[in-house]
Amino acid sequence: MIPKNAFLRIVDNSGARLAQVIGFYGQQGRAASIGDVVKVVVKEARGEKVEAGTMRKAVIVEQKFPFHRKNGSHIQYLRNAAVLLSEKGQPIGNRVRSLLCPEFNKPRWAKLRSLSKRLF
Amino acid sequence: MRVEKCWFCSSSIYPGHGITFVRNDATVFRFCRSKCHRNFKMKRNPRKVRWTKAYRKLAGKELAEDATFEMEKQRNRPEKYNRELVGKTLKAIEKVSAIRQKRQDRFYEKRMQCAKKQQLQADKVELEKEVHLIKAPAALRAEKEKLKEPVRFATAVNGDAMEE
Repeated sequence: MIPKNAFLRIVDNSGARLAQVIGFYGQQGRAASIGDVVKVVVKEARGEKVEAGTMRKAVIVEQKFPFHRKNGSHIQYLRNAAVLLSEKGQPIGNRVRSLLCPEFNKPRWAKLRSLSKRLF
Repeated sequence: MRVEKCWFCSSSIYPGHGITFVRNDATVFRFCRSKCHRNFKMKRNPRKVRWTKAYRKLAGKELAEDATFEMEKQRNRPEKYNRELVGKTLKAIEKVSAIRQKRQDRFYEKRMQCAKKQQLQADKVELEKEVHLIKAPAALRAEKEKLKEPVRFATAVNGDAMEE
């Protein structure tokens, strides 16, 4: 449940630290959840790869609100986190510091999965 | 599908129950119900909370080390599916559970044997200290006799009333 203007920690090594959600892709947008792609503006960044103030796409990877799966289980993380994506939807960084939940088993996220650890 | 163990109380978590919490350092905690989840949030140590299995095993109240627990341990090598193996495993599970139950019962009995002696000692001490609270059997009988008389008198009176 990540609404507009929410801050997300970026958990890959693209250089960005904090990003703010400014819009949603693919839905009528009141809130986004794990696995949704959002439009973000990078607020804080370290390094040269990504600059603060640019707009990017990102996929939400962790959220504090208990995430309900159809098999009945609930998962919650300690923070709201995202991974920056390029315009085509592929992750920019090459290391992801996060435990991905089973939502990312789809072939769409194959590259993301290969970069990180997974939670079953 | 796996039946997990609750991190706090060590009970089994069946599908559809409980919450899985992932910390920022990627450690996963599974809880069977909100009671365990809330205790965790309060930063309680399960080894000090009396109703958890962790406490009981540590305090020696329950069978902690036994060969029968080896069967449930998680092995990281996946086994290739083999129908006969599955059948044998199912039968083995039944037998092992029965053996484990017997061993746990024996452990409990052993633990309670000391309790019997302690109880006997406590009773003796109580008897010596508080003998004055106990009435002698003869005195009890005399009291009973006293209680009976008025009842007999009352029935005699009622009997006369009925006759009239």
